[in-house]
Amino acid sequence: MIIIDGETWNQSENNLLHEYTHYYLDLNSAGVRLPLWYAEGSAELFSTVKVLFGRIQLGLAVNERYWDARSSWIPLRELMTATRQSPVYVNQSTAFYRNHGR
Amino acid sequence: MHYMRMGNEQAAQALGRYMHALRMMSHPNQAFTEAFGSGEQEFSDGFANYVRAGKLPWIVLAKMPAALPQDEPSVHEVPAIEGARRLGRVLVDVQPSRPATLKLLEETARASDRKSSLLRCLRSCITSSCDPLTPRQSFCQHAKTRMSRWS
Repeated sequence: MIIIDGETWNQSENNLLHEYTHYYLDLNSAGVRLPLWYAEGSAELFSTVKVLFGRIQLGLAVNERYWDARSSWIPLRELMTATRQSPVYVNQSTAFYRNHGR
Repeated sequence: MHYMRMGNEQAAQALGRYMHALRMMSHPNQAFTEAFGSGEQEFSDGFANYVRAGKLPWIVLAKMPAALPQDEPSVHEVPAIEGARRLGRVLVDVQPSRPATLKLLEETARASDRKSSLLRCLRSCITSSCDPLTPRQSFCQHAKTRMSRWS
């Protein structure tokens, strides 16, 4: 179940798609516990999907993430091996999401 | 993820290797090494160039992959107990540290068939990849303690 604020639909649509991607991945990961970066990165990638006139646009950038990512990012290995208990996530969750997630 | 899915063929291949390694029960650290090997720096540099280039590609799929169901969402009334249980389940996710969450679930469990509602909720909570030390996990531990006092 997803509860969203209907007053701000533009952002809510992205959030809805983001959370639905998590749900889809959970259902289809065949018992593999997906790493945090993969789950969040996928959710963010699919959060901007647009369906227009029977066509699907995939890969549209999330503007604020894109411009943030240009300024700094977490080292690759640290990012890809992070869990919700990792210092990089606990202390820098904003930066973490800038790189790969919401 | 954008870079690996859409930006670079070698990165996409590395992602494929990484996921394969994970399916083979590798730890994420080990999977990372298997996938990227000595090319870690090259990958990092490629990602940096990708972001700095200023153009992120996107694709258009001209055909819908499958027919979407046409049914309208249905709305139906549920018993008050079931409604309370569902609300409690949601609160476990969004506000697990609020005392009212556990209280609602407890009252629901007592008003229905003994503890089954709370048990179901706890089972679901525990099996859906609860991370230790999160408010949700604390909630589970707290609820278990409370339940043990009932019996």
